[in-house]
Amino acid sequence: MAWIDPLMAAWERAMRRLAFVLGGLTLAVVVLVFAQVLLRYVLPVLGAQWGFIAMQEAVQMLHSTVFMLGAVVALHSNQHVRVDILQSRWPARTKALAELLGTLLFLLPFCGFLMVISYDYVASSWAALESSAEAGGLPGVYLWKSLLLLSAALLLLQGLVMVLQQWQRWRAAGRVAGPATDSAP
Amino acid sequence: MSAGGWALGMFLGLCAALLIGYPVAFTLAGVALIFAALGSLLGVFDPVFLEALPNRLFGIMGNATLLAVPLFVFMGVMLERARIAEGLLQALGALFGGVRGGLAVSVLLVGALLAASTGIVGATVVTMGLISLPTMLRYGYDPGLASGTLCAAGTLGQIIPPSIVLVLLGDVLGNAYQAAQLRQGNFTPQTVSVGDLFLGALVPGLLLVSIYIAYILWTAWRHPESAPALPVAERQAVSAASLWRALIAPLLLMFAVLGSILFGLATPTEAASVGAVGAIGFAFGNRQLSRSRLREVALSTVQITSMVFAILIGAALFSLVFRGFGGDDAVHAALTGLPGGKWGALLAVNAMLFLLGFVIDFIEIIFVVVPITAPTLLALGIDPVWLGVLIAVNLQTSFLTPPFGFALFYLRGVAPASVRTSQIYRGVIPFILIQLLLLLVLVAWPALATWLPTRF
Repeated sequence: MAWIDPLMAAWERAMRRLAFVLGGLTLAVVVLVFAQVLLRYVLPVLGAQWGFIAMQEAVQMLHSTVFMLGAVVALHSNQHVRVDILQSRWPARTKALAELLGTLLFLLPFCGFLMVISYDYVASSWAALESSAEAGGLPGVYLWKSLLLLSAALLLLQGLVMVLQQWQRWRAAGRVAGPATDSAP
Repeated sequence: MSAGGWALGMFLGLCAALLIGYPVAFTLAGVALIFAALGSLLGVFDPVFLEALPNRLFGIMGNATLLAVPLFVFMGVMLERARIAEGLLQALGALFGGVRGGLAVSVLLVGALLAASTGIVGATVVTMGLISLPTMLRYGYDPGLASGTLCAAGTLGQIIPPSIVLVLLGDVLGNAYQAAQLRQGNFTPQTVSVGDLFLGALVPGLLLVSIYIAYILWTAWRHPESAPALPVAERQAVSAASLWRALIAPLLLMFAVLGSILFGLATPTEAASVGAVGAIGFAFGNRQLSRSRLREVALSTVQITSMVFAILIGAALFSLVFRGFGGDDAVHAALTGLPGGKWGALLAVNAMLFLLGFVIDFIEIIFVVVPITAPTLLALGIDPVWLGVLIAVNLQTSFLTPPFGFALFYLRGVAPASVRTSQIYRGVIPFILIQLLLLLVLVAWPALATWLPTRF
């Protein structure tokens, strides 16, 4: 399976780049919300008006992009919270097996389900080229809603990468230690 | 199996699955799907319930209240990396170190100040544990008292606003409050906001810090050897000017954030952005700001925020399925059937939250358990702000309680080996008793929590 290593390397690079971009978007959220506060107090003094709806929606779109795609980054860098009171005591092989089962039973079905259940929801938004229901809101709500599908698809890919890694880890742990000795602490 | 049976099964199934140690967000979602599939096969679950999911998730994406989460997280991480704790501990240690118990008091005050700015339990306990524990031990503090103080100070972030716990609770309780009133036929429901909860938690939080300090001073007076004053020669000479400099920036930041919410100048989300920008300014003033530092903080914010929202998404699916099995009605029936009316229900829910706090993080508790139980409690006439503050204090207590409290794990991780785990456990007991005292006081005088929000 020589083709798999360059593919994994490319995925690593993509994840690093995604993390970098999302970090930038987070900074943008901080700056934009702060600007909103300033503008609300400064503009009336200058006698100017400002449409806040569009700005608020833009911030909300940025913020939700960060956490919908950030879920993939967090999964990739193992930053999701776990209840590890038992797992921390398990030998490497058991741990790898638990992770493999978790990915197969919990993560992958969820990603598949989310893609299936969101498809019509997103497709009908695309069909209408839906834009914001608010007066003065932003167009492109269909793109915003597409995050559901994009996030599910990327999570699915990361899940598949993890299946491969966890399987390799499980096999390696079995070869090195063997089931008889790896129960030692 | 009855609806209640399935609902209970789902809950127990979740607890068992969580122990596997797979990320909580996906365990929630996966368990929900497995039960939904089983239920559909057996004809006790209507899959049509699941079709509400995309709209639910889109609701989370458009939720403006929760926008405060990344902003407060950014503020907290930035202040932590800008070494705010180090500066404060040094300044307050110099100020109070000469008094018996003074070092412990300054740890508590720093904990409270940090809580008001960051509110991240793990970070606070670890940072302060690394800095203060060795100092306190070196000057002869009782290891139990020292570690108890550190754990207690670290968990103050749960209750003293602006805390992430209160932001999440405010959002969940706001929805539950509306649902409760709609169910009772009130179609112009009153609202409760994150700002209300911040205000409600302020007096109880300050009260808690005061009782903590009173306890430490009392201990230092009764057992001088357990909390000695620093010898004059050992105290670092700190000029008034540098003391002022170390204190002024964090205090200003705290007043800017809390004050703007208190006086209605800004929503919690807007105040959080002021705090985030203020934290950048603080880092700059402390010569801790660089391009790479900024990138680090932003990346860390992405990770923490995504982790929180992923759990929210998993919990949304879980509660959809739970509702599909009639779990909401089962919980409602169970809670209203308890002896003692609203007090029985309140006690039962809080006991459950306390126990769950041993195993799972506050985020899951707030997103999974509170939405299921709070509508019933609120419909029984319990005040939402009071309930929120009780839950926050309760969870904080749970994080302090041996052998499973999270704060204890964090401290154990950074404490020197000479401090025995049993000493940590023993040291934290008085603080747990103080927590319980505060809960009793809050039950006896709800106005402590509910009065301030009505003033603003």
